[in-house]
Amino acid sequence: MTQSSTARCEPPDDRSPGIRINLKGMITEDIKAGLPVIIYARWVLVVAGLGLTLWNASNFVEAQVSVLIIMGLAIGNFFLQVEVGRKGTIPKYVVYGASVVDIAAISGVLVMSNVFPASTYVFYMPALLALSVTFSTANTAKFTVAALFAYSLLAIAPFNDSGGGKVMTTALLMHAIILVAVPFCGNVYWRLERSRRVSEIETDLIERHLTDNFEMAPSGGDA
Amino acid sequence: MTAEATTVNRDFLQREAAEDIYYGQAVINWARWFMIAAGVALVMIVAETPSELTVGIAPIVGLMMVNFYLHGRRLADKPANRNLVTISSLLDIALITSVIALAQETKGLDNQFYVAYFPSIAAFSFVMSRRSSIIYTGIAMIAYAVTTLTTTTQIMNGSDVDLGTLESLATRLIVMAAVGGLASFFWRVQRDRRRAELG
Repeated sequence: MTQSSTARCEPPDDRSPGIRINLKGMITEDIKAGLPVIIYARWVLVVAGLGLTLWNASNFVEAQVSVLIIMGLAIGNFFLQVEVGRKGTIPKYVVYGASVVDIAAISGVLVMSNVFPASTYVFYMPALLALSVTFSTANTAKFTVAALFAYSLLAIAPFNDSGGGKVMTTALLMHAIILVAVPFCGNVYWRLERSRRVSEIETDLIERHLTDNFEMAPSGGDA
Repeated sequence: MTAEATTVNRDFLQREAAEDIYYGQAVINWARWFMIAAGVALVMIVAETPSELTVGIAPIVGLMMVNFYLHGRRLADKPANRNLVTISSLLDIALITSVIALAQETKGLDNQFYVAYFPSIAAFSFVMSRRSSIIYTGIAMIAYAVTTLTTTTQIMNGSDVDLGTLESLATRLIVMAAVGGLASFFWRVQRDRRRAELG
């Protein structure tokens, strides 16, 4: 690692001479950058969910409800994708609301399957990963706690029905740990990249500032 | 493009890849801490005798030492290089797969330790190039599929295939691929943003 890149890992210093970066504006830019990840994660949920529901449906009503939920997600996601493609302005509440719907949809399918451990649990992973690289740490934490709470609540009944026991307790604990781990890692990366980008922009601006000053300074002392 | 421009471009790409690893390896370290936490939970609850506890906890203590070393280096601004990060990440996959294959009460598909693959795959794909991420995710998927198919007899009993259990395996493999793909996609998004902002 070069010396310059080592220096760039320092946290951004707001006291840099004559250089200000609008961090408030970056929040919206961050959501814009992460939104395609949320959209692709939802397409994964739609395609895999639909395929798996139709492949091995044991209960007809359960399959019908699952297909309806998936179709609803697909329609919503289609419009979101179109808006992103058109570079249209998407209100924040739509993005947050869509992520709430994702978590609710996965939880809804979990309720219907009523087994522990359910194979649907894994769909929380892409959804949480996507929102963790899009939203701020506080909002990611809220979504993660909501997903953890929903999963724990929904797992209680089938967990008791299966008789509990050591193996099931371990499974529940591991599921809970990893449900936190994936969004945590995603958001750590999001924060690292954010500070890296700010540092690089600052370094670039300082270099330009110095170059401009050098070019404008009177040359030589002989005159 | 002139030879000089090609060299500058190559230097820039190399520096960018090195910085990706320099900054991003903390994510891999954090993912490993969660894996260690899941491993400790597994051993503490499942072990019934002191000897079982000893056998179970030994590899986890080894992994903790590796992670203390790597995370400590990162915090001391002397991060591991690409090879060391790759080797340690492959070690993670090997350990998860070993637990799934060798666990006494629940082997193969019934073993829920497979969830530890997710943070590991996500963290690696955030840090490494797309090609490396695809290879790493592929290795994890193949390792898990082979282990499960060989240890879970109810999936393929002779010519009979149980669709219910095969569906669980397929779901997990699809989501493993999705997590790797999404993390790698975001890595690319961030790289493009950085380049665009630097002009």
